[in-house]
Amino acid sequence: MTGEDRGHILREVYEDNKRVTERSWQRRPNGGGVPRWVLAIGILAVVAFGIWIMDSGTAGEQASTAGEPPSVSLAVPEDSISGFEENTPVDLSGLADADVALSELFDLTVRTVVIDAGHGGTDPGASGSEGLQEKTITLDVASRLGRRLESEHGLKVIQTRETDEYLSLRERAELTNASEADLFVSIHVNYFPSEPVYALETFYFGAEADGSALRLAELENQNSDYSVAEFNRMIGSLGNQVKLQESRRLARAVQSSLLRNTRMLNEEVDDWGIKSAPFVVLIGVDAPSILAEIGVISNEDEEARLATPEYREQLALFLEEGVVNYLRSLNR
Amino acid sequence: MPPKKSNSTVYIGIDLGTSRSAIAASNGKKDWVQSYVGWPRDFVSKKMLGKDILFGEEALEHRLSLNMSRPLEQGVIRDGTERDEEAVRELVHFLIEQIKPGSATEVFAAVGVPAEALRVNKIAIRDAVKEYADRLMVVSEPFAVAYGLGTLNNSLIIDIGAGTVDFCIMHGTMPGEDDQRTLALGGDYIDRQLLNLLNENYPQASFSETMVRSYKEEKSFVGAARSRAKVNAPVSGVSTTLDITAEMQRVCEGIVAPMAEAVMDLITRYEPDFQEEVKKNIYLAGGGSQIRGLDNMLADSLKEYGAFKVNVIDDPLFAGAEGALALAKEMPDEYWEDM
Repeated sequence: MTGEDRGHILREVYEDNKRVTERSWQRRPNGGGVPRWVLAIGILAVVAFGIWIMDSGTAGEQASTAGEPPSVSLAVPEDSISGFEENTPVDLSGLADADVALSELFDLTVRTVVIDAGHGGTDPGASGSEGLQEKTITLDVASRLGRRLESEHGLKVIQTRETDEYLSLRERAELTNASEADLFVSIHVNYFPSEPVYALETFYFGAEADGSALRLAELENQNSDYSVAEFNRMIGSLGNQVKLQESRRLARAVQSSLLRNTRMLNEEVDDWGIKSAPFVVLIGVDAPSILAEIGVISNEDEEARLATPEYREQLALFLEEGVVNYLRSLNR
Repeated sequence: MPPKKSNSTVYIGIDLGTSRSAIAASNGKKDWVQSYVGWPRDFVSKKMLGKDILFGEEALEHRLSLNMSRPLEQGVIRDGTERDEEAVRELVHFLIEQIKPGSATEVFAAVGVPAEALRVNKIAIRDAVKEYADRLMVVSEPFAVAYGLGTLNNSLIIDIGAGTVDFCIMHGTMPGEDDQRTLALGGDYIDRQLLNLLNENYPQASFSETMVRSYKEEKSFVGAARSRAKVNAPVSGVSTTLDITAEMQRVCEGIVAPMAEAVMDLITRYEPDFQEEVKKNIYLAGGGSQIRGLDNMLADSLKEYGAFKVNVIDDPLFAGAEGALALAKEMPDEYWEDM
């Protein structure tokens, strides 16, 4: 091997390590020295993509590698999603007064929903500039959503955590499977420190994913606690088309509701749509599962909103609407 | 601040393995240690041992009085396991101390880790290692071996470690995900299989994991046995010699077929023009490369796919550390400065 070739390889080693140190700094918002151009290009790319999606009219679905234009008719099975394209908000207030529980009304079998407040304990997740921590928001929204689903829809709700404690991804998945959940909803908050981005996105489990989703998955998968062998086994048992399809539909329903409703409060919110990504927590769970990024904590206005109980209650309502829309659609 | 390139800079290569960790330095010193770290369980143990922390063989000797950590179990550091991260930190510290850098010296370190650790947890590995080095680069172990050997193009490195077997095909660049495979069939797997088999076949005898590991290290082989594998074990309390040749052979041969599969998987995806060259440049590294006869048996099992040459590298204990050292020394100053 020539000296020039070795020089080339050495450069690659250096660049790879540099990338890791930058990611490492990103996880600590108070750390310094991240080259702005790296983050700026990343943010611009993602925002540009988001704007492109908005321009194409509806929430786009990206389940393929970057470069392939999203096309709703290609990527989405036609029978299931059509109901969600309507823009009329669903008014649940009247139904809540009904004598019959919604679950009976819509002939749903009693369903168990597991809600997962992301991060917790020694893992605070992302933090905003005022010090608000992701783990606090996720816990609060999770418990509010749980209360709503239980009291208003007669669903059995189990929380992966009810206090500020640390749980590995594996523990969350095992808890979910042990409780024979019918649905799994994980709540997270996004973090983009360089730009005042405000966007919403929802992930569902799927084998294919584009680059940015994969990188986010890699970050989020760091507390997995799974061994290589176990992981391979789980991937292998993934021929479960039903789980894939239902996860996608649930993601679509939740994203649609979150977006539609927050837009009424704040027009600026970008729709980053639904995406498939190999989040370990979604793989490990047997039930249809999603991970919702319900806001961006690095955006100062958003952080201020997320700090208020009122806004968290609203987010819980929007999530509730999404889940219930999905459940209703099962009976069409 | 740019580092001063003067006599007070030492380059080091570290190989962090599940079972063994090694260091090689530009001042000519090198050392290795078993990847165990132990902290005294209580005040009494601490007094008896006279130290706050023990490493390697010494830790194993006193393991009953220690809280032990083997931090790279299965080839990864689990994020959030503070003790494992601390163990890696301390192991690195210990190794660096062995090569006596001196207090005024700047340490530029290249560290090779199991491929799975790099995949799962780059950030945790860096955090654990960078405490005791002034500049740090982390690479995958098989790549470090390839760098040291100079086989950076059209070659396949198989690093048979305790936690995992890492396969890495080299085509003149830093390996990407597609160039690598990992099997969870390393030395620890062999130990477990051997222990189960021995317990089944010799129900009166008592075997421990440590004993079985030492049997493997001394007597492992595949193919025709050149000599019988005779070991000692207590049978109903009496030390007895047992012939475990058949068990050893069966357990070690169990990894050959999956290895052959991984090799073919990588080769068939390689540029067709150069596949034949790769087949002749396969290198076994890591502790498992010392399984007698493995090189020939692997080549034989692949016969139908072509002419294979499987080489066992010369110094499996230090190959990774030496390779990382070569990388550290050859890394241009401006890249080091920027870390």
